[in-house]
Amino acid sequence: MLRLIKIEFRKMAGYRVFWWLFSLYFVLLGAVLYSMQAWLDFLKSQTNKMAEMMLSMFKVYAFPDVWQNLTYCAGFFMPILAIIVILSVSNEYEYKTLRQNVITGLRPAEWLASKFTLIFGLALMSVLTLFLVSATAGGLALPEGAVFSENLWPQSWMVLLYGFQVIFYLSFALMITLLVRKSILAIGLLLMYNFIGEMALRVYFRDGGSEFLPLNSNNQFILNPIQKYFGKDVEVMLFSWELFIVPLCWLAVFGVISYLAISKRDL
Amino acid sequence: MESVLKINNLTKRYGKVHALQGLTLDVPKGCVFGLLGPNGSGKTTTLGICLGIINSSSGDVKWFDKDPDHAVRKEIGAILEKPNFYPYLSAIDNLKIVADIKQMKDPNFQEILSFVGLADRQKHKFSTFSLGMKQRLAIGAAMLGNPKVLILDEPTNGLDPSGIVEIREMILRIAEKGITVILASHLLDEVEKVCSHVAILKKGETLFKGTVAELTSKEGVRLEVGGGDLVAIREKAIELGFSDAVINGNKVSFLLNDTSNTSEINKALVNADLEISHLSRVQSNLEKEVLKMLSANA
Repeated sequence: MLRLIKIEFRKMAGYRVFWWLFSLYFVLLGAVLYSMQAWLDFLKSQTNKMAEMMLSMFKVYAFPDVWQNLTYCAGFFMPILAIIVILSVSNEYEYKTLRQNVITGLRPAEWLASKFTLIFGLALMSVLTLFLVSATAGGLALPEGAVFSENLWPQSWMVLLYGFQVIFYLSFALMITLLVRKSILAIGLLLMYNFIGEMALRVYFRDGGSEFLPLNSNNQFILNPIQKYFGKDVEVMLFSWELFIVPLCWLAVFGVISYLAISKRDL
Repeated sequence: MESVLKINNLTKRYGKVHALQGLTLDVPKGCVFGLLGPNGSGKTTTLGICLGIINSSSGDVKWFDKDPDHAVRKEIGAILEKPNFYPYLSAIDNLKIVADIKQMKDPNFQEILSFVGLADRQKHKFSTFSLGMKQRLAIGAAMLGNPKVLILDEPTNGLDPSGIVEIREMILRIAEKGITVILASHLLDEVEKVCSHVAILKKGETLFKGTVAELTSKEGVRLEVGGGDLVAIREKAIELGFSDAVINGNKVSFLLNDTSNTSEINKALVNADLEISHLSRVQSNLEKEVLKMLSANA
């Protein structure tokens, strides 16, 4: 496994676009998360008294809500990481390095595993960044006299759920790229499915079944935090292991399709 | 003779198109083997199947009497169609990836880079290389890990004459090390200069397999004689025992046998008071034989 990590790192280390997108993700993530309160203050000034009152209840950076607030918000930036994965895979087709890697002696399964090391690496970096941002923001917003170490941990596991969401989303992007091979097509398909396709399917399955849709099943972990300030049942915010069943099944499907796409087709 | 590669009854279909139709081949150990044929004859498909990147429809391939799995592929160095590297990485970084894939413990990159003449360009990006340099780097990468077999698919495609000579000399140096070289090409002149064995493919079928000498000596060596009276020269040649002598343009041509002595023939013609202006031994070459074979099977 160490060898596969090394190979993938060598490939990415010299790829300037990767570093640009990687930096963009973290800069945007940090900037947006730190400016959320300012954005809420702006909203308050623009709305009526009732909404202003509700928004005033919404403490963005207060422990433990900060974990859900920031992880939910960070979810919007996953497409940037997906583009990194898409480019990394489509480049291998464009440069014909995937076929050369296999000729040189890499098994297709090893090649796929090396791409999963990239996915896990990106997820790990995201989780660490999100943890640091949330912990810092929460620490700064801590009321006077409150003990940081006591307030830090409750609900902090949400960043791990975010890590799972990233792995899921990037695996989906990997599978699409292996199927279509072209970066533009893969990015287009991913974004179209993400923002149009699955929305339409959710409407179609509104009477039941939408929870089995891939991206929707992955979005069940961290719900929109605003909901709880507008009378939604707080219970739905609680974590349940059952939520993993459908996404894990989809992950297995993505893995099998990805493997078949490189092992059964001519390279 | 021991074989490094055995291909048995290999077929590949792309829909209704038969790219390979029951191809059977043996590549002897230590030779430089030319895989010849026009575009679309199935050379790259054959090599792709042997290297595990194209799935065959039927038939089997054995490398060193083993199935072509990833472990076997590590003992083979190969370039298919064109050099495939990460353009944004330097030559040395690209070689490091190859060494990591081959799980080499202590790769000697400098030796390889010197061998292919790229030691001074090792830190330059692959995208900045000329085609000749790219080909040389690809040969260097294929040579990493001391492979038993080197496969080169059209290695001189697109190169200028000096680039072609460089690659040819490199192939000969590699062959001298005892490495079996399989060379797919449609540049017959180049193949004749480096190959000891050839297989000629057309539309996925083998038209010939054997040594280059067997192919070019199939028609024997002919003597061509030019001079004033071609009819008299022909009659004298028949008198000397060359019953197949024919007038061909402005020359008389006939097949020499194993005991024929060209200077004796020359002396006999001059002693018969025949005016001789031209005398040359003509042997068929690979290009002529291949073209003859391809047109006969058109």
